[in-house]
Amino acid sequence: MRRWIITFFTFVAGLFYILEFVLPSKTSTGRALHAAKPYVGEAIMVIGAFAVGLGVIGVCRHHLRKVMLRQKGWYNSVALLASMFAMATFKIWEKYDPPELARRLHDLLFLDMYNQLTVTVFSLLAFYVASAAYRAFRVRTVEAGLMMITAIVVMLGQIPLGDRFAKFLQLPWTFTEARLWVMSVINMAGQRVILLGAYVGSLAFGIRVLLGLNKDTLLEKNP
Amino acid sequence: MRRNQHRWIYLAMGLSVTVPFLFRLTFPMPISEPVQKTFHQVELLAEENRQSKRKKVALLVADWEPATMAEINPQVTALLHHFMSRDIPFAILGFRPTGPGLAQELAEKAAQDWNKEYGTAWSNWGYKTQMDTTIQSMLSDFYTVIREDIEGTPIQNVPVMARFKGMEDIGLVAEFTGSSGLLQPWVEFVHAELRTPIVHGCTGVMESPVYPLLDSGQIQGFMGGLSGAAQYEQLVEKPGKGAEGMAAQSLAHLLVIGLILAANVKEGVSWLRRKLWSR
Repeated sequence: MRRWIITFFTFVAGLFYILEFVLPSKTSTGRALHAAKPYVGEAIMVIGAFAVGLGVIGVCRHHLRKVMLRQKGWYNSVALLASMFAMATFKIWEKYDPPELARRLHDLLFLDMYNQLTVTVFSLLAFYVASAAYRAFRVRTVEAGLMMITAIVVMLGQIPLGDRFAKFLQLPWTFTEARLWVMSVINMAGQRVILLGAYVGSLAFGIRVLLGLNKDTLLEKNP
Repeated sequence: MRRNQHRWIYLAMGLSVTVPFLFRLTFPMPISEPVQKTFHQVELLAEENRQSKRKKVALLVADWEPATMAEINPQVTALLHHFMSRDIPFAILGFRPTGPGLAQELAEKAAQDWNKEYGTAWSNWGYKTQMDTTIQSMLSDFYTVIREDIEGTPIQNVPVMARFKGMEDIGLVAEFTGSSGLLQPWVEFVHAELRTPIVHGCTGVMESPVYPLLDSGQIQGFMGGLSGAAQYEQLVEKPGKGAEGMAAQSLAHLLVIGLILAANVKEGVSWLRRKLWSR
């Protein structure tokens, strides 16, 4: 039964957007579908909001069980739940009854902690990239050699010193020009191939979802 | 030494990204074609607004997060200076929770230089979810989706939006993100239906998928990474964090190149040694 309900709603929702796009707005059906579009959009947003609620319930169930049974790393779950509820509480408090304290607590959590932590984690990438470049970028094949040369050209083209270096070497082109050529010729050809393949794949996947042939979207296990 | 190798690499990287900031070194950047096109598109909108009584609004789509603000913030700041210097009204909208707040902060800072104020120079529509459906609904019936700004004022009552009727009054979409897939809906729905020009700002690593869109005319310009920001700052003659950061980025890139070359020389030498030893 559940399978049929999900398939039915998926099919109807998909068909709505296909027909709305395909049917000319001059026809009465096309006009009606076009007029209904903002309301269907709103309904999708409401369903999306429910999904957030379900997500919160799921996270709480998973981590509360971990804490109660004192499973490995349970203290991380405590930190997660405490941060989640603190953030939600202060944001709601700030929105509906904004005293200075609520705003400051929200700013402390969001601007001074969350933002800074995300920036810190992301900035660590520079260190890992440098270390990985040293340890992993070894030229053992012709392809790896080509890749290394391309990477160096692109990196030198990205920085102002690159062009000075090209001038110093008396090259007939600048690294900026070479980088633009790599990105807009070699890279673009590759990207188009990937994009074309991905879109054909997503079209096929869309049809499978629409017709209820994809077991993942039906919450069933694939064989 | 071998065991502590990564520590030395980390130290070198740490120094290369911090030391240039102490000396505030800046280098002139050659302007690339995609950045020049972005600048040109804003100039076109300014010209169009000068010749028409009803000013079109630029839509700044703020889809970036704190993780990528080191690259995106300077790009947006430079673009905001351009908007404000040409009296282009703009609106902020985001499909990432942190984006509209970050953009608002930058707009308030830039506004101090141009004596502009929230409400009369720009409006902030805040954070929205469900990107695809929201954009499609905005195209069908704008005010069903965007009813009020972040302060709770109905959109029509925000002075800068007084004559705004709907998506056809948007003269330029400027989409900024460090994630993939967030530019696509604007191209597929807004550019395809209304031919609204789109410019894009992204992190350096996200540049490569954007080139086909620029080549096919589906977007009209873009700036990538800190380098794009530094170039745009030069165009609007407002040097800022982009130009400052390029010295650090230059040194970091040179360090990575040096490390790659050093590792390969080391590998080559040990290969040669093994060959000679086996004889």
